[in-house]
Amino acid sequence: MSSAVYLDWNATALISPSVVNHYCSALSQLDCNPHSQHKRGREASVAVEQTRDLLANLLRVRSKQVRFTSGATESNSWLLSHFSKREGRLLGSAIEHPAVGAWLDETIPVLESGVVDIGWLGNRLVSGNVSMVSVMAANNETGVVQPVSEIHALCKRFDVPYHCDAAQVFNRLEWTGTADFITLSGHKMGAPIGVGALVLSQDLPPLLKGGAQERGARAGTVNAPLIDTWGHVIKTLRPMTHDAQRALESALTTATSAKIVGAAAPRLPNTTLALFDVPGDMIVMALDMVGIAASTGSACASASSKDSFVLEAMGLSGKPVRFSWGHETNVESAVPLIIETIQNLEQTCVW
Amino acid sequence: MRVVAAMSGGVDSSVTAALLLEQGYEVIGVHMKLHDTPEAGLEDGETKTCCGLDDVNDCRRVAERLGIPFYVMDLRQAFKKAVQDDFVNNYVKGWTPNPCIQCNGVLKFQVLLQRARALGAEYLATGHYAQITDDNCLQMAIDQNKDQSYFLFPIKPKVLDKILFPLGGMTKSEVREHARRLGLVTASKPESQDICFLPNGNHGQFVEDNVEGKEGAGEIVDTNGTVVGHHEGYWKYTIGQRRGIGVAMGKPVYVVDIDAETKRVVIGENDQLLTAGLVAGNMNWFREPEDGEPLLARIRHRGALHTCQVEPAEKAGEWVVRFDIQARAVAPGQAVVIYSGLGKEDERVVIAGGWIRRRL
Repeated sequence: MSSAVYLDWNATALISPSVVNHYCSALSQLDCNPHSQHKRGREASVAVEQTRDLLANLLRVRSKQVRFTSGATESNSWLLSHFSKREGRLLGSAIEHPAVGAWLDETIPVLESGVVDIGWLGNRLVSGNVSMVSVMAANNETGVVQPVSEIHALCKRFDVPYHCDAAQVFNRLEWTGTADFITLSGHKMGAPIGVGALVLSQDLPPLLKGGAQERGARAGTVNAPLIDTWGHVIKTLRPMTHDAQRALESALTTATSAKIVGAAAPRLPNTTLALFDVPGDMIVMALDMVGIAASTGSACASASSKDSFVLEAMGLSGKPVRFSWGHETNVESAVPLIIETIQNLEQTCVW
Repeated sequence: MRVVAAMSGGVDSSVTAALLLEQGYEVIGVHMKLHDTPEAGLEDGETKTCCGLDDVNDCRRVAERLGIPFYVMDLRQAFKKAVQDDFVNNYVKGWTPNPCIQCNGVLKFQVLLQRARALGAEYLATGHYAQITDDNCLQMAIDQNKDQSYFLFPIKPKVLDKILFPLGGMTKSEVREHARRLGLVTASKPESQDICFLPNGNHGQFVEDNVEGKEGAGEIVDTNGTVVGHHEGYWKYTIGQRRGIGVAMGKPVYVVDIDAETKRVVIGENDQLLTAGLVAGNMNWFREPEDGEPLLARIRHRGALHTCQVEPAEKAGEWVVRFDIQARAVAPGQAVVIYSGLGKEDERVVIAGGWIRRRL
């Protein structure tokens, strides 16, 4: 059953028809090995490098700093597995995605607002013995935007490398941050699943050995059609307004028991995380039955069925509902049905 | 009409969903996520319990095959409180709990039923082998080998008309045949046998891991009080147990009593397990017995039906069940289910059920 309204963009952004078309033609035109010497191979190679340039331009880094990977988890794992072996402790915020969280030695607390506690981090950096700091650009569950440039400046003062998992911000916000290492994900911004990147400020030991691809750092045939399609997506990135978010949240807070999580902090314009008197999983089911796809938070967490550690870090508890969308999503048109469905559940019984 | 079908990932609940769909219901499949027991690894062989990740995947495949929506409901908190904590507390009291009945009573036919109703469902259906008669009585299944009415006694009578057991009138082989006919991946899946949160069947270890600051080790004594050995935790034992007691007496001996206070496990001979009756509490009555209605008591799953008399005990809320002929190995914490002796042998109706508190 395909959903009429897809509000689970932060799990995976839908692929637009124009991207599907581009991918299909890329599959037939760039279907060869970019490291082959013949004409077809050269064309594939050029396509890959064009995307690398686009990414470099987007992030204001040099092209040779960009390494293609299979996605954000691979990028994080590659970088952090290396830094976790270095001297000193690996620090990251308490609300990092598990692909970062799994590597951390210490967590940086967040404030009630959902923003990382910079004061705490400053004090911690004074005591030294830190190999790296990793703080995401925006949280996947709450959408709360983190002070990336401020954290980078702070880390610089202590000569500690800063990594930023920026999987969630593109096609939602203008990227203005800087970091020593940046993780990117293709499918969160509208490309097909299976491509991502890691931006480096220093060389890392190879992730995969056995070939010269990605400057010898990640052997394996480069996926030219996929990377080329990502490039097509990057050309179309644009920031979003908060209009849909305002409409949804004002309807939710007036007509249901909703409490918006992270409302006091700067947030992504495409994300609303709310707690209700009804358990979030019930709301997600009831919404799915009327054709609206939402989620209870992180899709990764639902596979492992853990409670939201993000809420916990903010001093909250409960099972929330996350609504997240893209440029083309008509959120406003779904609002009446969302409200009606939640009201029905809230009136059925005492939870 | 909308029905929520509880789907464990086994063949029974898969066929339940399929049959309801064929009968014209709008079926919503729901899997209850009850605990975080680690998934079986490659070296662990085929898992015999339900509720794991493999089972969820099987549910999804069946639901896709049937073209029905399917959801996983996270009920771990409720399960921990109503079932797992109760399980540990029972063993700590020296009793032998029945977590499957407790799960049916609270998780399935209270929590899940309420959630099904909230999702707009008229009925909750499960793959249990039992029947609900037209006049709303809980009755044994047609397939006497599979009958699960014993496990269902805590269902409140007033919700029976909101529950469907589509397999109650079928045999297990018919169910498998249906599954094959419909091409369901679960058609030849083995039966789940063990307690779902104990994949290795080691209840003693689970209790050990979940009692805080309690020491279970103590003496093994005979019925005269003579110490004949030592044990590492009285909660590892069950009334009537013969194997693995850890003492050699030169004759068959059984656990005949467990005293949580003194941490003593008492062993004795078979006839010391015989008892004339029991006291049960928390009785759930489906209806009052009629005058002169013969009553039959069952004290374990698929166990014998003992002719008996039931009367109120001195203490309010407790009931005395007196067997006409002594019964063996009555264990506090287990369930006693009273059936009517009227009617045909394979059409017994449940009159009441309760939890065994002590022997007479």
